[in-house]
Amino acid sequence: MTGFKNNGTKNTREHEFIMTIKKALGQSSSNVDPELLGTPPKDIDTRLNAYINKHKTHRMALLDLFIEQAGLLNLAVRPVKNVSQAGRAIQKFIAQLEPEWGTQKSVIAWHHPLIEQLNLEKNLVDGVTLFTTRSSFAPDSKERAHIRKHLIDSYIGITAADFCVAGSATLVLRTRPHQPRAVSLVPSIHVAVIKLDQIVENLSELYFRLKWDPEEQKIGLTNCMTFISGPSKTGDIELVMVHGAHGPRQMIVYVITG
Amino acid sequence: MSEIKTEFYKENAAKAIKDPVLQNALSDVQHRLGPATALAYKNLPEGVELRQKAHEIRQFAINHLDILLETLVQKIRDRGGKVYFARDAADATAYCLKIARKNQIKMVVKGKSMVTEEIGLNSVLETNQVEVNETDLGEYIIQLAGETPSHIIAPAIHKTRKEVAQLFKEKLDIPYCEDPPVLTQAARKALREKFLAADMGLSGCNLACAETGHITTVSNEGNIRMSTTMPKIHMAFMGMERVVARLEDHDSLFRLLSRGAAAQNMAGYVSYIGGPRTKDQLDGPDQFHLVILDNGRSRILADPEFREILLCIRCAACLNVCPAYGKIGGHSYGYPYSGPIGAVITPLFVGINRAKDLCCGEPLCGACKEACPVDIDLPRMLLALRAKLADGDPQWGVTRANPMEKIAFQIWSFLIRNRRVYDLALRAGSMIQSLLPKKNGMIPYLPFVFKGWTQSRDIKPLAKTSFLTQWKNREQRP
Repeated sequence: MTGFKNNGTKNTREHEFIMTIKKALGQSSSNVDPELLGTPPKDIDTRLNAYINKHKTHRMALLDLFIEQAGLLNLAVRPVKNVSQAGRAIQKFIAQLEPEWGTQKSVIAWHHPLIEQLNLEKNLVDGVTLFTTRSSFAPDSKERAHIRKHLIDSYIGITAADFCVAGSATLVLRTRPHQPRAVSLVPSIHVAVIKLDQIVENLSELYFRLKWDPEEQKIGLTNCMTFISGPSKTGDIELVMVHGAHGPRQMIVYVITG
Repeated sequence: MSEIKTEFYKENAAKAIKDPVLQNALSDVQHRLGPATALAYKNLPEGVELRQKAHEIRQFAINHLDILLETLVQKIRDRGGKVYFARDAADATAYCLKIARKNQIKMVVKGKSMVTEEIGLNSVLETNQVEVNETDLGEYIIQLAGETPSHIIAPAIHKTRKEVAQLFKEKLDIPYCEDPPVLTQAARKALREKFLAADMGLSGCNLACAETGHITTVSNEGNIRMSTTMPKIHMAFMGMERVVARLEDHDSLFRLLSRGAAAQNMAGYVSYIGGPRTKDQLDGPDQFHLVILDNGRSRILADPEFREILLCIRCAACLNVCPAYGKIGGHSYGYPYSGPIGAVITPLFVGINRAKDLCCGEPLCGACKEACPVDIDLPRMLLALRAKLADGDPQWGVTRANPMEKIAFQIWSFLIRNRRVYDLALRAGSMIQSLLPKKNGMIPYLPFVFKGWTQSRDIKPLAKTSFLTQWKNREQRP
């Protein structure tokens, strides 16, 4: 991810723009050693090792920190022992909650290995429809419109996440095929399912892993990486905090601890 | 270009001070956000010193702006994003209009963005039959009311819930209700339709990351995610100074931005956006455009005295502590940027003479510097602007704001360096003052150019004998 290029410019407009900046800086910063901008730290392996192989007690402490921080944000966190317990809890959750718009109880879920293990299709309560966002290799506009319609009709969106930052109760979601970003945005309620080992302590750990872990480097940040810290909120009328401005008004995270 | 009303600073400030509703609102904002932000800085694991670290990160980025922008742009283009470099407001709005026309855009949704206020984008689109919908609740309120933002992050802070209730009753056709959750729900419903119907989404840009090639957008409402996810086209506007070098630079900057803006540990939503939808993805815009704007910034960059202002990340923390802003509100500043940041950057954008009252109106108390998440020395630059107004400056095209003032101070300087002449002047003054009316032993009114000194206070008359003379007489006593 390092390596700063200073290639020739594409057109004169851009060239002039950059030249104006260079002139204003009064120096050619193109002579700067690119290492200066992204020198790899010497302790990458040690740090990565410490981050990735945390002891269970450390992980549980991070879960506590996540729960504490989430409490400040009106974000519900439910630790569960295993995937099937998570699945049952979500089904119960769906059965209890009524939609914000209309009467149809539609749920949309990411096509994702962890979500699949929840087995939500089985034992769904009567009257509830579940749509999974599995798509073809290159979904055309018709296919996308079809999924968009389901998305708009759904009152609950279920996603996984890449990471969870305990210190600020932040979920990190990257965009991938089969995993539209609007599932965590358009439905009134966002349900996320994560595993205990996806919890990192703070932003510093998150950025370090995204930047230096070879597995993460392969994925990159993608064209859209989103941080979500609690349900949508606003304070624009007399600074009164109201949840559910434009995004989900309720958010719940199931953490599989087993 | 946004409408410039900086010439009416004094008039508008006087009106604002007399507006009890506004005074209440401003006092509320400052009492709640100012101390909360200070506490949030203090509670950082690194303490308030993190602000200096963030300052260095931003300083480094600004000093390498050329190479960082080139790197950012290259990576965005590699993902299929379009980047446009706009010299000024007209250039930027023309590009937006061109893309809108090319794609037959009838309606856009917009996330809150100060830079689009700066370039006056809404009016350009609207005069060209493109419907613009502001979607941040505060921006939506002021758009419905036909007003402009009065605070960088809480644009409708000057509006009471009663006013919003009345406004929504008229414009959204809902029953009158003063309850913020009910009002928010009404806006949520109205704007949801817009989000789903819009062809194009517009946003600003909080920070960009050169190393990874992403811009980032920050919101609490989710309106920016909506605007940048649902429509077919996303166009982001970015002041050219917003880029930082490395991903890890965002660690301290986002934590500080969230604390500076709203005393939060972390903003509700942060999105890293680096290009349009890839063909295997199910949603996201098919086109992603990034407009990088100069509009006077390169001129600021070239001046070592003011370059520091480009470190600003527009969190509005300085507004929440400024005694001047706390009394006169955002509209008095006559330009989208208000408070201490506005008092420095607006004169540099629109002309130092034209906006002279802004930098002269700030009290130089230093509260803004302490509140700034990236530790910008705003008072230093306010003084530098005043120095330019006092002496003139050909480089910035500044003429002396008050040539008489300079002459007066030259005379004063001569007087105080010549004891005899000074004594003579004192005696003359003490004779002249005997002609002036007195009230309780004070002078309530001074004539001519001196009248400003008695505008809001009485002045003590000159002593009959000077201190030095009194001292001498005292020594002579046995």
